[in-house]
This record gives sequence, structure tokens and C-alpha cells, in this order.
Amino acid sequence: MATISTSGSILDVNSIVSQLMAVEQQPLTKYAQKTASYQASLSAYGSLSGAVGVFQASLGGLTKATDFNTLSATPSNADVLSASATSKAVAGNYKVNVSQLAQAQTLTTPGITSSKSAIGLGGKTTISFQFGSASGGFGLAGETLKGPIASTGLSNGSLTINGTAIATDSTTTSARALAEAINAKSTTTGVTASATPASSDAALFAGFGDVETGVDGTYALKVGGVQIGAQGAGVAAGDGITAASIDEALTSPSTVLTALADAGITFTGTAAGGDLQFTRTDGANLDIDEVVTGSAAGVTGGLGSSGGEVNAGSSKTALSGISLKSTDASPITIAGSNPAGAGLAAGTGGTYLGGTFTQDANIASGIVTIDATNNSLEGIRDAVNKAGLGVTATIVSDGSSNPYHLVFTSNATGANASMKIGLSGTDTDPPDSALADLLAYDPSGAQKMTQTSAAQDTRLTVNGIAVTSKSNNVGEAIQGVTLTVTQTGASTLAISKNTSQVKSNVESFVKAYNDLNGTLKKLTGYDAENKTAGALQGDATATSIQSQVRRMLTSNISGLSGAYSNLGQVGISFSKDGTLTLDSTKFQKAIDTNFGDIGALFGAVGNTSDNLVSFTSSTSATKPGTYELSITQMASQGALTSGDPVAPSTTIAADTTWAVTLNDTTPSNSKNTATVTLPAGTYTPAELAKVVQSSINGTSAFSSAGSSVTASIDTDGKLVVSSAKYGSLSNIALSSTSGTSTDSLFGGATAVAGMDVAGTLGGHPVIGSGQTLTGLAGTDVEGLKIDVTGGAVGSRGTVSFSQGYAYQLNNLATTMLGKTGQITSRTDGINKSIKDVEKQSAAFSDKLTGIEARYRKQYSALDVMLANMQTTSSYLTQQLSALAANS
Amino acid sequence: MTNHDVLCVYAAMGDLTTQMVAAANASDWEHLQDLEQRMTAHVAVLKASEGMVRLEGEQRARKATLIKQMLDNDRKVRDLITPWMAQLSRLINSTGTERRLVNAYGGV
Repeated sequence: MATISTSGSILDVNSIVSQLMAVEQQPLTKYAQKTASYQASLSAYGSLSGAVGVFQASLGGLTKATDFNTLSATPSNADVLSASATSKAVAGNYKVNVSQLAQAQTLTTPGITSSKSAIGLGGKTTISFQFGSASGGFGLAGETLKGPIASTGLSNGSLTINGTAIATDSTTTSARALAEAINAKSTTTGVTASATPASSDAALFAGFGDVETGVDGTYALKVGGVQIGAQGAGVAAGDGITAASIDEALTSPSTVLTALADAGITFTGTAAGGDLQFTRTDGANLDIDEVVTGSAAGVTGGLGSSGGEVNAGSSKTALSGISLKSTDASPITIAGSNPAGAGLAAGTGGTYLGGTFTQDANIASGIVTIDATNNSLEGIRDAVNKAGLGVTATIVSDGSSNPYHLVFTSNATGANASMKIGLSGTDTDPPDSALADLLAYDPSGAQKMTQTSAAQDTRLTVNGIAVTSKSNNVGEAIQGVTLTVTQTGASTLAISKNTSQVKSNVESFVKAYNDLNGTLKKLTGYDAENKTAGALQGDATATSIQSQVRRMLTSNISGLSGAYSNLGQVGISFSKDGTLTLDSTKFQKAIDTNFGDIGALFGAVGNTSDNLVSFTSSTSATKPGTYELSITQMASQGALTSGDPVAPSTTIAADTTWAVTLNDTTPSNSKNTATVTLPAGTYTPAELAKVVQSSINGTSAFSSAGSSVTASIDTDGKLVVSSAKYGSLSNIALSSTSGTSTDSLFGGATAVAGMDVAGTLGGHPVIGSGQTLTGLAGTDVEGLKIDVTGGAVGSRGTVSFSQGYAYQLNNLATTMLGKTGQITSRTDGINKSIKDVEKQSAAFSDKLTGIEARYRKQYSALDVMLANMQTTSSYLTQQLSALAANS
Repeated sequence: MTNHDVLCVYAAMGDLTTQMVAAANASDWEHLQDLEQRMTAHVAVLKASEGMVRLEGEQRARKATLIKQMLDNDRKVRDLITPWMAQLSRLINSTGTERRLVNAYGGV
């Protein structure tokens, strides 16, 4: 501390004071200087950390080798489809022709007066929704053509289908002709027609009398123009054509039979039995004629003449009807001036004709319960929507006298998502009949609802190969490519190497490094022009960062099997000023020759030699290398197998519910147990497995937890229900709640818990969870995750892992910026120093406060003293005056 | 109190004021205050007893001289105190500002 000099001069007071204050303020200035220097370092580290952060961010998109191997997918017609390609795609041009878009099924109830009033009596009724494929044509089955069609034909304008007039005229005399006329308009109507076989009256030959011909009579029996039998004049009854002779003529081999077969005519029954019936399968009219010549009473017997009555000849024509099929399974609208003549009724409708329903076990089924509290259209709608069972219910009003329709739309598109709606009651009670009449829908049975839109797949061809997809997103029709089709039509799809993406990735890598390098240079270097040193000149941390990054970029990447292992090989090198430069020609050559290997130079790649082993992920701690994989235990699923084979037919009673416990933990958690309702019905073993699987999977407690099961019939005919999950937490247990008991299906069942995969990787211990193996901390394979999805125990090839430049640099940046990283610990240190100076400064500030108090005290003391001196001086002046006055 | 006593007090006071001037010159403010308190004490004694004492001739002249000397010293002391007090006032404000800065910026 400087000393204060005193000269004794009055004029020196100012100088004394200013010296005093300069000394007193000296520490404060020092503190400020110290702090400013710390702040400068801190701010320099701020820019450094920012630069490292920006560098890291720019590496973010380059750390996965697959990011480099992208292919671009360009459709020629973007209206038809769009596409995205992964690295698995193969470059080339693909011709895609979309003929049909996927859609969901929509079912509509008949109209009802009110959406709020009760339907039925309110008895508890369970409505089950199952999903699957409906087969069998969707359309209308007509009746036999009516009226004098066979002779006069069907006049023009008699029939329109879906608004299109069918051209009919006097030649439209048979179902076959009508079907041809309808099919001529198929492209506009969307409907195809087929004629049903025309069959003669089943009782036509009942009472066939032996034919007797007189002196001038002849008789011939023709079926569809084929002569079955004939007799000349003067033949006594029983000697010529009899029921027996007809049967004999129809006994193989015979020319008659051949002629009939050639004419497309078959027969059933016998004339003797009276049930001989001819059928013409092509739907053309079938004429059965008795041709008689001679005098009026010249012939007796024949068809309908068992009593030997006179036969004047006869002609019978068997007509058939048509069956309409909608090409897209939508309802068909029939109109025209005489649809009845065509055997059809005016109106709109359609059903599955002779359909079957095959449940898809992979789509969860669901159940809603309707009773007196919700047996209205709105109540059903809300119950269905709330149940979340894959169906959306809405109410539409068409403005008619019975306006309200309940509409169910499946949430899933695809032909496998057709609905089957079943209703069941409780125990022995049947379901409410009014509800059943409104809602029952089974392609193979009652179809009380109307299908207004059929479940259908997307249909397309790729280079002529037919592909179907449940949705308009078509994956893997072309390997590695996902197509999204938006309308029907044709488009080519060009899949090509995305070289511009790779190029821009590499350019951004170079730029990111150069930016970081620029910042480091500025901070650690000396600016000769402005004669200023960087804020971190000579700072060990900063120079260490600089050299670490540089060293990383100049070393080779180990563990790579591709063509490149260092940056120079793809045209990236350091120039004299320390920046990275990209040699475009060399880089383009690398792209052209080994496109797929460039990514591995930058990003992390994991490869496995066994195709049932897949690389999942790694961490920054994983060391590059090739590791031998040895599996000692495969992952398995928890399963429950019935004690005995399942009966050929199993009936699930109404109101059957089971308590299912799936993937339970130790200790047991009640959240893993849920009540599952099974749709009542009688099932084959295969159907039963599907019903069990989709019912369990349709339980929201499981679906929301991501748990599911698969059910199947094993080779012994036993029902096996297994958890879809693998590993020690995979298990399943069932118990009955009501209805058909689990014991009746699973009696003596054995439950097996799942196991985790186990083994070693490069000799290092790994931990298994389900099908996933993860390398243990502290080993070379730390954090390396692989999935073993199949195969057997034993040696399973190798797992290799490499870290490209971007991946390594990203890890380095993470480490530097991390909590214990170089930059962080350095800035933490500086911040602590600043805090210390702050403390000292504050302490000194307190001291200044003390000085101030002292000054203040002194000032007031002097003030008081001045007042006293004033008093003294007044007294003395007064005494002086008194002396003068008295002298 | 005798005439002699009175003059002695005045003489003592005169001496004090001389010492006060010296203290003020040396910026020995604590000592100055001390001296001044002693002055005040003497004044109090004088105020109480001096009225009954009558000085004549030489003694009167001696008293007048002492008083003049004291008044002169008084002015000298004041001339030294006043700028110091002004400086003090500035210092007080200055350290106050310093402290407020410290409080506001957390130590610079």
C-alpha cells in the first residue's frame, strides 16, 4: 500500500485526498481487470463451444452410413403415385400401373324414423365385430324371366342398370341374350351378368304315357333340338316310345347323349321315375317339343298323357334368370320400364351371393354390449365409437320418411378388413330380434345391413407383376421402395442414386470442419494485421481440441470392408492453410465407382454375417471392430398349449369372457390382466384360433400396452396361444369369468414362460432382453445392440462395427461439450475464478463502506466542532467588544 | 476566580488555538476535535465566572491581545476545515457511488 505524504501545506489537502482515494480504489481496478480478463476467456470459450456445437449440429445428419446411401424415387406421373426409397432399393426404372385403390368397407342400416328412440326391447345383446375376407360375388340374383319374353323378346327401355340403359329388343328372348346385352355395357354399369341354367319343369315327365301311333301318325320328342326318340305310324303303345325307352336312350353310351352334351344339355332323374329334368347350363332357353303328325286322333300318350289321351303335340320352353355381379362390390341400382320382365326388381341393393367369410386373425376383433340404456341408433353409434374396435359409426339422414341410417366404416382398408357383425344374447336368451334384424351382417349368412362400399385392396402391377396391398401405401412391391398411390393410372418410377444428396452431405461436412477450424484459428492465433492476440492464444484446452479434431481427420477409419478408409481417397484433403478442400473430380469418381462405400467413411455402420441377426444401434462407447457372435440360448415366447387337441367343432357360448394375463411382471401387476370377450359361435379349430387371437388383441388394455398374442393349431391339433413378445417377460395365463370355460378348451394346459437370448460377442459378456443383445459397459462392445430373430444356438458368424469420420467427430464434440468435457470443465474453472474475484470485490466493497462511515462520522464531528468554534468565537468577540467599551 | 485566573484561562485558550491550527494543518482531525472540546470547556468556565472579575490596564490589554490571537487562529482553523469538509462530502458520495455500482453489477 502506498504511503500518504503530508507536506503540512493547506493547499495539499486536495492532493492528499486524491492520493488517498487512488490507493483505496486500486484493488477495485485490479478486480475489474482480473474479471475482464476472465470474461474475455469465458467469451472466447463461448464462441469455441458455439463453434463446436455448430460443427456437431452440422454432423448430425451424416452420422449414419445409410443417410449417404439414399436413392431418389421420381415418378413420371405424380398424380398416380409418390415414392420414397431406402438404401435397400435397387436403381432402375419401374413401370407401375395402378388399377384399383384400397378402400374400407362401409355398411348401412335400413332407414329408421328416429335416431333417439329405442330399438327392440332392451334385452342385453352383444354385438361382435370380426374382420376378414368376404368371398363370393356381390350382386343381385334375379328370378326367372317373366312374361312372353321367349316369343316377343324384351322391349327396349325395359331395363336400366346403374343409370345405363340396356339395349334389349325382340331378339332378347332368353336369359343368355339378356346377359350378353348387359355385359355389352359392363364398362359403364360396373356390372356383369351371367345367365343361370335353364331347367325344364321337374314334373314334366311325371305321367309320361306310352306313345301309340295310328295308321297315319308319327311322334318325335326333341329336347333343345336333339331328338330323344321318334316313332313312325302304326306302333302300338308300349312297343315304341315309353318312359323306359327314353331312359334307355339316355343311358351311356348313346348318340342321343352325345348330341345332348354337344348342345350343352344335361339331365337328372329318369323318365320312368317321373323326375327327368333337362338343364341347359348356358342359360339359353331350353325347348322341349313333341312333334306330332297325322290325323287328329292319330297319336296318343307322351308328356302328360298317362291315360293314353290324344296327343296333338306340345312345345315347352324353359326360361332361366340372370345373376348380376358388381365389379367393385357396390350396390346395384335397377330401373327401367319393365325390370320385372328381366326377373329383377326396381331399386338399389346387393348382397354377397353364396359368400363365405374368412376371419383375419391379425386384425383385432371387438365387442360392444347394447342394452336398455343405449338401444337407439345414437346409443349404438356412441358405444361402437367408444369401444375403439376398428369401426367408426356415424348416423346419416337421407331426408326420407325413415331418414336415419347407422353407418359402420371399417378403419382399415384392404380386402381382408371386411366386417362380420354377429349378435348374441346372454346364456340361453337370444339377442334382441329388432337389433339382429337391423345390424346382423355376415357375407355367408344374414345381410341385414347394406354394403355401400366394399373392402378392397390396392391393385397394381410393377413391370407387369401383379401386386396387391391392403392400403394405398405399398411397401416392398419394389424392394426398398414405399409407394403411395393416389389414383388409378400408369406411371414409371425412376430409382436412382441420390448423388446430389451425398455430394451435399460431404460438402456440408467439409464446410462444418472449416468453420470450426476458422473459429479455432481466430481464438488461438495472432492477428498480425491488427496486432492482437486471440483470446485463447496458448490456451492448452483450445489447442488440444484443435489437434484432436485434426488428428481424427488424418487417421484411417478402422474396421471398414469397403473401398475407402480415409478422406483422401474420396478427394478430401488438407490444404496449406489448414482448411479441408474437396476435389470434385476425385469425389465424382468415388461416387461413380463405389457409391455404397462412401457412407461408411462418414457414418457408423454395423454389419452382421448372419441374416437372422441384425445390427440395431451403438453408442459412442462402442469400439469399432469385428466380433464373433456366439449364441447359447435363443429368445422364446411365453405360450400356453391346450392339454388335448381341439375338437373339430367348438361352440363358444353367448357372454363368454375370460381373464387374460399377458406379459405379467414379478411381482404381478393387475394392469397386465384384462377381461376378454369372445364372440359367440361355432368354430372349426382354425377359426377358433383366429377368434381367440383377434379377441385378445382387440382388448384395449393390451393393445394400448403394445401387448399381443398369436394363436394357432399345432401339428398335434392343440391350440397354442403365445405372447408376441420375446424374453423373460413374455408369458400368458387364462382363467374363466363367464360363459364357455377356458378349462373346456385348455384343460390340462401347460404354460411356458419366454426366455431371453443369451450369448457372447467377441468373447465379451452381453446382456439379453427378448431378442436383443446389448454389450456390457466397460467392454469393447459396450452399447452395441443386435437383434437375434431366428436360427439356432452356436456360432452365428460375426458382427462388425465401424465409425466413420462424422460419427467419431460427433462423439468427440459430445464429449467436449459434455458435463465432464474439456470445454465445460475449463469454462467451469473460469466461472469459479470470476466468482472468487466477485467475492473479493464484494469484500472490498464492504471495506469501502467502512471507510465511508468513518468519513461520515468525521464530517459530522467536524460539523459539531465548527458550531462550537462559532460559539467560542462569538463569546470572544463579545468579550473583545466589552473591553473596548469599558476602556 | 481571580484576575490572574482569568488571564491564565485566556492564555491557555490562546495556546489551544495555536495547537488547533497546527492539528488542522496536519489534518489531525481527531486531535483537533480534542483541542476544541477543551476550548469549549474553558469557554464554559469563563461564561460562568468571568462576569464577576474586572480587569484593568495591562491585564485588559493582555486579554484583548489573547482574544485577537484566538480569533485569528479560529479563522485559520476554519480555512483549513472548510475545504476538507467539502472533500469529505465528495468522498462520502464517491464511496457511496462505488458501493452502489458494486451492488448493481456484482463486482467489476
